[in-house]
Amino acid sequence: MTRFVVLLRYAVRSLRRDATRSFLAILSITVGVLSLVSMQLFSTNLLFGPLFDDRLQIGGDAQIKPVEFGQSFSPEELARFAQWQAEGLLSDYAPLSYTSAGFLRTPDNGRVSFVSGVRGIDPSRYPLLGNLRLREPAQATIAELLAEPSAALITRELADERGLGLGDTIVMNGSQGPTSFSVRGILKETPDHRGDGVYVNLAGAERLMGPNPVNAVVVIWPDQASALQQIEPLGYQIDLVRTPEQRSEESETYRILDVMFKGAGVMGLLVGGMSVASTLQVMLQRRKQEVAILKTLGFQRRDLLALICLETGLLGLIGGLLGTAIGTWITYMLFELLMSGGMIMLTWSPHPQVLLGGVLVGVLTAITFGIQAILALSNTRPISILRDLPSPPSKGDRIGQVGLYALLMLVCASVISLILGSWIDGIGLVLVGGLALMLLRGLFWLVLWCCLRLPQPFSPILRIAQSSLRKRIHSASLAVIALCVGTYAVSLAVSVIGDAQSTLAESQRSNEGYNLLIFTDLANESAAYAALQAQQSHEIITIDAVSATLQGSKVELEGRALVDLNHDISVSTTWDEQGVLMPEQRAEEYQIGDWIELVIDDQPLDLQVAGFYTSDPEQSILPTSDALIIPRQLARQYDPQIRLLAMFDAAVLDATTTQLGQSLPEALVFSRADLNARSSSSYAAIHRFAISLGGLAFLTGAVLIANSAGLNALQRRREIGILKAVGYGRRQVQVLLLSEYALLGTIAGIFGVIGVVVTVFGLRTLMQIDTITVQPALLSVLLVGSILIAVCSAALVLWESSRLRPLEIFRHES
Amino acid sequence: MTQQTINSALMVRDITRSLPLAGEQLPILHGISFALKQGDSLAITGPSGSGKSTLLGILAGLDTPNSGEVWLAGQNIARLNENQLASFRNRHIGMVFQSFNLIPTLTALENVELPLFAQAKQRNTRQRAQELLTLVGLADRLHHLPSQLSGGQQQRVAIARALINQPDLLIADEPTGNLDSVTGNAILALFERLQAELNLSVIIATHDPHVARRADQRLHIIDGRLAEVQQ
Repeated sequence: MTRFVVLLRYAVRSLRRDATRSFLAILSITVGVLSLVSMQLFSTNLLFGPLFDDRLQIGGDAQIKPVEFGQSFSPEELARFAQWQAEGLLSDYAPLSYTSAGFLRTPDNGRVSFVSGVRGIDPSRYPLLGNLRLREPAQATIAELLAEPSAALITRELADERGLGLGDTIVMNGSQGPTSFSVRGILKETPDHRGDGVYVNLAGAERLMGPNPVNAVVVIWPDQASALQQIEPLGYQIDLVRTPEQRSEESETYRILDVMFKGAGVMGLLVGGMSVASTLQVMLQRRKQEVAILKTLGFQRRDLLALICLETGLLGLIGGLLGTAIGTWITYMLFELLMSGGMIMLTWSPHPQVLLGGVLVGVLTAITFGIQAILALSNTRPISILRDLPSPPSKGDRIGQVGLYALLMLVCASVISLILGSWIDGIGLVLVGGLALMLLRGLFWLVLWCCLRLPQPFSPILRIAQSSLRKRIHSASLAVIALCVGTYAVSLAVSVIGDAQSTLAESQRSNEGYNLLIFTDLANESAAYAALQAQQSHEIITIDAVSATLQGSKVELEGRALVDLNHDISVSTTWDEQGVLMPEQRAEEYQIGDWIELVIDDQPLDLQVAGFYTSDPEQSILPTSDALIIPRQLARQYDPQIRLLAMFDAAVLDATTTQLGQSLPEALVFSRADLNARSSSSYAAIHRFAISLGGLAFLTGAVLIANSAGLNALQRRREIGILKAVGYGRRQVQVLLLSEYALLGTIAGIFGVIGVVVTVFGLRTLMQIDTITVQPALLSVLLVGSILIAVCSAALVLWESSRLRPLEIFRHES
Repeated sequence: MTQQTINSALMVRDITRSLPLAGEQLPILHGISFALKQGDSLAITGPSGSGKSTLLGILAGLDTPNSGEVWLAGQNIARLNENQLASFRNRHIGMVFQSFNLIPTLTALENVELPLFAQAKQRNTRQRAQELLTLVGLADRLHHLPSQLSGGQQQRVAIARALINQPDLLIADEPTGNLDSVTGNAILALFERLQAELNLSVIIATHDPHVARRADQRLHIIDGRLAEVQQ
């Protein structure tokens, strides 16, 4: 026990003594483990989570919708489902109402929140699959809470975003205008794990949608074939859970994505491992004398192996713990970012298997990648304490070394398999990753070899640098790989971000035109109009929205006055507020003068087609696209929802929205800026994730370069001493050493950039992602950045060596 | 095993050593033979490059000769493999170096204990280390790191470490080389006291004729050959 304690203390103190390199080694392992753990957690939680569970998303084996899109089920039709269940055709069913409500506000806060769905449910039947679980009140049941038509349950994301609690009132936009509900419960889990959702009962859905709000029924059946045989002839639309073939086809896509995530993680680990290898080489090289002392005192090679492995394992343990902790934190934060959009409501699960595996991988990575340095050090001959004799490894040593490598790689692959949950994936990724590294090393060895065979530079300093690099071509190629991977990762990240930004820019419309919208009802129209005028709106358009049916399909009617045309829409014909204006896409179906029959509130209404219109989506916050435009006085007869489109200066838009919202508690007010903010929030998470990963890879590259330079400086102390002794100045020595690293940085930068160009070309041609581009200016910056990183990292560690006086070097060596 | 081998603490017979240099073998030692009685001291002298350190390495079991025999504690250490040599060094040989060679991250006490940890079983390691440090006059410096000790004190720690396993042979390579003359003399006096009290056989490699003169025997080596043997 005393022995272990003293040796442990010795190991810890040794690591502390070489604190900088210990830090670098820990950092390398941390980066590697972090990439593996975060990728694995991300993949496990997201790709294979409930968001991609087909049955949970549908809510059963199938979802049945009315014959015509946009229609609802009649009570008679709903009775059929009860009958089918009684006959055993269905195991269970639940009627649903997907309402059109998409905005929510509270009376005391004028700003709206966007909701992905307000769903009407029958609490006694819903959900068939998954859970609808309450955060508060914890003891109540869903049926109790949704007993009244004005009751609503909201998701925790929505509650936290809006600071909503039990008893608060929310206002949502229904087809009849803004409708108030009272928050009776806050949900912590929904069956489909969508966030920003609201649940009301079917009577509540009727308040939003009008009579017969049920427009879908989810079912579970014992036998799909016989159920379909009976239901399909009725003409209902049936959304089925995908067949095993369809699922496997799609799951193959997810699997590829999954392997890509995990592959990136394993590659990160391998690059981190390479960095550990070079750091340990430097660290242990400095301990040669100590090992010789221990051998002289009678320690055998196995004792020393155990001792050095203990030190290395400690580094791995710390790096593994840090990497796992940071990786978990990063993935958690990423989840939080994804959640913050409010669209997803997932429960974070850290998976103990991944966490434990991450720590183990840290220890094993340190030992596996440090083994070369560990073996070299434990092979130190004790005579070296008296004189520095060469000690080339014997044939037996070499065979043992290869065997040990194989064993450790196997153990490492096993632990990675444990994390990934698949032996094939684990061993395959380690093998492919290892092979890729070997190929890269071979490639860069060849490139360096060719570069160093170029005609000798005229400068004697550069000639010495060239000759020195020729002798260190193996270790130099390792550093180039890391820096190249770093440059590649950052370049690709920037390109992907550029793509995301351009997609975002396309999705975001300018804040010009009719940039503010008020949803209200007839009773509040005058107040809303007056409020807009009070805010000095440049233009106001009033639209009376009514739902109708045209040839069995639901259509929206917009009641407009003649004065409100040719602003956000252009009408090609003269309309004297008689008849109906159709969208231009219906021009092939109808002609001017045709009569159409609309059904509004079960009452027929015949109108004559008076002309066609086109709309400019840039002009309006809520562009009119496929609505039929009818005279406003006609729409007024059907208790329409009132929409007021207004135009304000972009500079005052935000403040005006808030003021209008506060002054109109019964209305829903939002602007284009609100819409743009919502669409950009989902991209922000991806940006940060890509940037962090690219930055980490770049940092690893810098660490590798610093290590390579440190090892080089240590090995070349004598050479530096001789150069200084024969008259070379500090600056000349620095130029000599740094020019070597400038060359490495240039090669790494060029190949990193080439890699990105090839990848982007592949993405554009194979995956048709046309928006992704590489900017020549960006590539030039990254190339220069790669050179600077190499030179600066090297300068950092070489600075001290180049300042040493020759006498100090020789005295130290004697 | 001859009668002379049995009577001697150390018996060296006709050892040679050469080293590879530019593809050829460079001879360092040519047929060195001598013997050392138990409790005697031996000084090895010679100019730089004469083979002194190579001989010392072979005697200490740090290196093996190309030919010849080195008998110590009844074993020909020239025939032992690496692990056997390590174990042999641990049990039978104590080494003291010119530059002390203490582990900088361990305290004086831990440095002295260190050789005991190379053995499979350890007993009373702390107590024995404390006794030896007291013996060399460092009872009040047990928990100091090497960097907190003077050169003379570091060398005393190194001597205590060399004695922890009660070796048959103590080998010192220029033990006073890094010390001033007063401290050097004190260290030599300590060697003589320990030699007498513990009946130790001691071999000292030195350039200093004053140090060499204090030994019972003196070997002078030139160009890898014994040039002179003095009793």
